[in-house]
Amino acid sequence: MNDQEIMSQEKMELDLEIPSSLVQSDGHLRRSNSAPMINGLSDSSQVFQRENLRSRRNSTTVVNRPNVIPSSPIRVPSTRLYQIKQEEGVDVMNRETAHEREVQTAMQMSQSWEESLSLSDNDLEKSSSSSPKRIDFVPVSPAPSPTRGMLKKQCFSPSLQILVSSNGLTPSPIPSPTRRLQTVRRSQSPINCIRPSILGPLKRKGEMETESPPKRLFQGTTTMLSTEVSHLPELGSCSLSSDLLDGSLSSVGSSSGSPAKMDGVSPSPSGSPFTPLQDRSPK
Amino acid sequence: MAGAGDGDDEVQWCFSQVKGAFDDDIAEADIISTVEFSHSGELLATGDKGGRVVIFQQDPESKSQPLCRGQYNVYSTFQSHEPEFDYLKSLEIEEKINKIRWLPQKNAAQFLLSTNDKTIKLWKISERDKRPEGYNLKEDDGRYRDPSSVTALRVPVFQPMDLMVEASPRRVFANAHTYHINSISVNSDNETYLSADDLRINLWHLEITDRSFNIVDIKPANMEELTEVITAAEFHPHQCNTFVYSSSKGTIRLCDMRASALCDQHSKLFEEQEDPSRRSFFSEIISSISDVKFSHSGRYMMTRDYLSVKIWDLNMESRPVETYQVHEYLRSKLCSLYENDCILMRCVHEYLRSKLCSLYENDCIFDKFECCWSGDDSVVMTGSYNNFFRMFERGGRQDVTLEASREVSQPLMVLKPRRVCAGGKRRKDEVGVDSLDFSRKILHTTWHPHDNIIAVATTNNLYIFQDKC
Repeated sequence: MNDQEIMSQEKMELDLEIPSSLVQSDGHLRRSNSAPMINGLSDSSQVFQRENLRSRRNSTTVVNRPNVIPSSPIRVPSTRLYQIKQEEGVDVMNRETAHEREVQTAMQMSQSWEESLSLSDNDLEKSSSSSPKRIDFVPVSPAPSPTRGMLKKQCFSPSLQILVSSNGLTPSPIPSPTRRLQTVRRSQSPINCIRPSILGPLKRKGEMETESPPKRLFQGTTTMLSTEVSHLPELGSCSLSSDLLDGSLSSVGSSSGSPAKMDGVSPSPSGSPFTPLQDRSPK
Repeated sequence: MAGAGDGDDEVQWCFSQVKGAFDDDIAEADIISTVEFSHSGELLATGDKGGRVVIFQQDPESKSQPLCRGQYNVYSTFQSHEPEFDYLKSLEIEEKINKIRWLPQKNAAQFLLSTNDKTIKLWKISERDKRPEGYNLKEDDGRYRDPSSVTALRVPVFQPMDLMVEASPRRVFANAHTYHINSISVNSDNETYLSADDLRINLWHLEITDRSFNIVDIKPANMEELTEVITAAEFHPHQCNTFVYSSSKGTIRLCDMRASALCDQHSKLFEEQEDPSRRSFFSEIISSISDVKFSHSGRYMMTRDYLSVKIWDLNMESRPVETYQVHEYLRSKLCSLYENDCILMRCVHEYLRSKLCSLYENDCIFDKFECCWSGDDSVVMTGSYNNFFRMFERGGRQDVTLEASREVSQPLMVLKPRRVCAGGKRRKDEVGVDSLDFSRKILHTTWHPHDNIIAVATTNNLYIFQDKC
């Protein structure tokens, strides 16, 4: 770090003055964005740079790539006051858009973080961590009805230390609470349940697109439909379902998506984040 | 420490039990979100992020033995809340249990209220140790008998069985809160209770689920004018007409329900004027009160803000009567705690192998620590970072920092007081501020109402300590 950066950092810590870039017009302080420039989402580059350097200096991380800082690119202040004002202030459409954007960037974050992990740390299990699909974002079930099962008694046997059915005769399959219980997954927005579109920048009418890196892989494939069909079985073995693949391929054929976009994509760029997928496929 | 006196009488705390697994990979659903002793202290309830409630019961045989009175075994567990989805607003409703409050026991069954962000439920916990056997139309395992095979009649009789604890939801109090519920408090009249969210407080009757009265509403007509939110609320332990609520600006308002139906006008306003020389960018954030608790006597109340614990006399609004610094050494670290960069770096190693933990979204400066009184109101306790927790003896006499750690997890091991070195030369057994682990924090603590037994929740473990005797 050069002297100027050190000075500016100290200024941030010591001065009570708030840099103008951080103050919104209504006088409320906006949280500075300490995210790395992933996909160019950081919106306050001057502040970011300072913080990025600071965090690198303090870093005790074992991740080899110093660029990867696991913080959300869009930093919402954690005060309830701010959150409430946001929720009340914008109309539903904008809120949903903002929510989608947050989810989408979080997914990108998780994917890029995992990619960096699998590249640099061989100890990690490939099976779960190299999957482009985060467990968190797999919908387990749609939101259950509030009355489902909740009016039933739940019975526990202290001597057996398991849940039992209410007639006390047959134990239920739910495991003991003293062992770690099955992770309860939060229900997801129905929009989240739609897997990331594999068509990339092509916008389908009336649908929210979630952009994610694996799309580019498929884009690469579709430009070579005739010559590299052999890739298809490999992709089918990935965690992304082949249904989606088929469906999207057919709609690529039928839609009038501009060929220019397709041509512009290079197939399987070297050093791409998709390397783990391809490595895994023929096993 | 629970008793007065010199060093000879000083209370020492020993390890009794720890609940939960010692995994490095913590499932998010296992994160403990609330802990509460029942009114007798015989039961200890915990709620977690996965919406489950686990109740521990004091071992009846060990209860009378001084050395092992801190023995608690799993008594019941049930799924209190499920994740829901608000389709109108496209928002998830977390199943995390925000608070559990026990009702005083009236009969053989126990009742507790548990709440997530939107819905409060009244659960009945009852024991069953007999079951009917000898039905005519059913076999003992539940299968139906072929009616033609029944040749004689018999009278079913109750036979003893292994103890079974049933938890059944008796009431569901839903759809009364637009914002996230942060507190519930049972009234001393044992008929009503209040629930508080960020902007409103509602009064419920325990028997009536389809109506609640709004008693406090701080939502302004124009949301742009909103400057503070409600952070905690509690009924007075003896006066059924009095309750307090705290705000994110560091004020506490005491309201009297006899004065008017809507208690927007407070009866008393407790606020400490801030020392202008200490004012900083973070002043308002760290003054936000995360918990408020009346003393058992009802004469005092305690508030917890980010750096300190304050004891207020209800008769004096201008300033607290006692202030205790929990971790003053963090004041100079506020900037980094807000930005969270170095915190993240410390967390990275632990959570590398697990799913993305929501911890990285949390900024430490917004951590909501709770506080609690000892049974005789002579000691107060609150949590801190690095799995430290602090106890302060009233009257400013003594304070101690203890740690809930795996190293001290043998029965009757005495907890050694810990020290944090704020700067300068660090002594041998001191912990430097920069090596504190901010991902390991104790937010929830509870003290047995009649005894020196405490329960302290780390991220996913529950530690039970008792005093050495």
